[in-house]
Amino acid sequence: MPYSDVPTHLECYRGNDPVAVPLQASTAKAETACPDLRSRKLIMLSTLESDRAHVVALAAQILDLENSISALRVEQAQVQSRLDSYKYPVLTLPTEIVTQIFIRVLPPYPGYLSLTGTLSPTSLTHLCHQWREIAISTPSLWRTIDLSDNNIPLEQRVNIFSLWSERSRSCPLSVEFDGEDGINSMSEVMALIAPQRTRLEHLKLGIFPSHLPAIKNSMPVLHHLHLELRNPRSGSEIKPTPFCGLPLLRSVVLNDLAASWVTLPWTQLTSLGLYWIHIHECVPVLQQTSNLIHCELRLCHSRRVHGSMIILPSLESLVLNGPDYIQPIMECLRYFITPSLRLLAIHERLLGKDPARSLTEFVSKSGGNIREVCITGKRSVPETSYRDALQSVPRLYFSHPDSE
Amino acid sequence: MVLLVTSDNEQFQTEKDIVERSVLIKNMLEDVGESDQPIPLPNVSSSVLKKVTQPSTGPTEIDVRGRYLSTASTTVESPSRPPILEQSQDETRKRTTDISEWDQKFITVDQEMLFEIILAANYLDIKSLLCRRWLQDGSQHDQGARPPEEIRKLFNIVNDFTPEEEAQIKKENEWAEDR
Repeated sequence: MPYSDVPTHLECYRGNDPVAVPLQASTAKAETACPDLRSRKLIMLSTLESDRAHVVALAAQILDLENSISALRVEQAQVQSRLDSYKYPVLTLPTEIVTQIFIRVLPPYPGYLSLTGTLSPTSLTHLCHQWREIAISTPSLWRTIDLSDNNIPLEQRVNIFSLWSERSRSCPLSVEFDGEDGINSMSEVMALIAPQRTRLEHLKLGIFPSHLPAIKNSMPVLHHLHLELRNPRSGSEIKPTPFCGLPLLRSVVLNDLAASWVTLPWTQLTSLGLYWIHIHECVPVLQQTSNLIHCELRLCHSRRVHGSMIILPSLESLVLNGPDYIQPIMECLRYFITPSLRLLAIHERLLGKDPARSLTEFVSKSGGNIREVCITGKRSVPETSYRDALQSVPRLYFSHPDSE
Repeated sequence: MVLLVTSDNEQFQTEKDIVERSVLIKNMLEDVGESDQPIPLPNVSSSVLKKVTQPSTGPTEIDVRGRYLSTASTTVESPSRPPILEQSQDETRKRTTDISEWDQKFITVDQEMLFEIILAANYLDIKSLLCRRWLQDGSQHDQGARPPEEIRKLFNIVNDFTPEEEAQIKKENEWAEDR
């Protein structure tokens, strides 16, 4: 009999509560008067008793199962521990597999590797003779050499450079040197790098102009050049430096000084970054880079206006950046004609006094290919104004370092 | 579907795009063309093939049991493409997310299974499964190899360098240890 069918007043039969006695008495009278009620009560009591017994039985079963599960867990842990304690004879792995694994353990070329520590291929030579041999005889492990860490004494860096360039045999090299060590140390490092010119594939240098002659000729496999020239000491003369013999150069990053004094095979470049530069200094370079696909300019504030247009017919992505304190008087986009552009990222300050209008005009003159626009820097114009103005652009988003 | 037969004679009906992760099988299929004939894999057991062919929504790495797995991540900038500022930041974020998700997809196995998988990956020519994670530093992703002592301990590798060699090796890395 379902409990819900039992009259609720029968609950009063429970206990010896003095308050309930009058109720009991009245209920007893009711039972006498109504035999059906008594019968229903007996059925209900019997059901409750049965359920109580069932609960006890279930609890016993659960306990049994829990004991069994505990025993299984203990056994599982023991077996797992036996499995985990098994040591594979790792030194029996074939050399070619170990070589492949070593190559994958370190960041992929030409990503950052340190000269020492666990991010250095040297760490793979410290395990045992067998693996040391394998690591040393794998040239591709040794081809990324970053000489910038001046926490390591220069003498040590020079030794490591010699050792690694030897171990990397004929592999193309990725070399980085952002010299903070003074001009004499820079000269020493440049004297080291120069003989490896024919192997340099990625080169990042922060040097004085006087060091340029060491690398200006013949780097037949150079693909990427990042050159930041430092201001020479007063009295030193800067001479224009044309580079030659760079048939594979495609990607370049220059700071303002380098952009002004270095001449590169501009037309073969597909990617160019010009950092901390005035817009008028960019123009002579950009007018020659007709095959650019990617371009990033990090601009300084400039009051000087130039009248020339920059036509980049193949450019697909353009990033224009500048500091937040730049005055919003520059309207950079009006100088660019970029019919293939798909991605634009621009600091709001470089959009002039009416950013939304400036963007709308640029998008319409770019032939409708722009798929993505990112507004960076501190904003003065609300997002909705941009969204209203750029409805034809599928993806519009905003980014500012402070909001991340 | 492609029918694969393992070294212990189990048969597996597997999606073509999954088995084609193996350059070996892909080449075999290109050579024989459409066929119902099973492809024998005499160097791969059924337990290993199950791991190797399990479908996944992203890259799956396999790590050895009994070590710390990290969700921390860093990124590597490639200078071959210009560091386009905002785009790079966006890509960085995307890759960070990828790596975190990727970390969660690690399968931990015992050493025997790990190396069985490595050997099978080498035989089947699946480069992405040439597991390297077990050699990497557990505290940070893409932070290079684990310290040598830890690797030696984990795999019972005997340090067979002489004291003189040991001193020379220590010198090679002393600037890192100082910091």
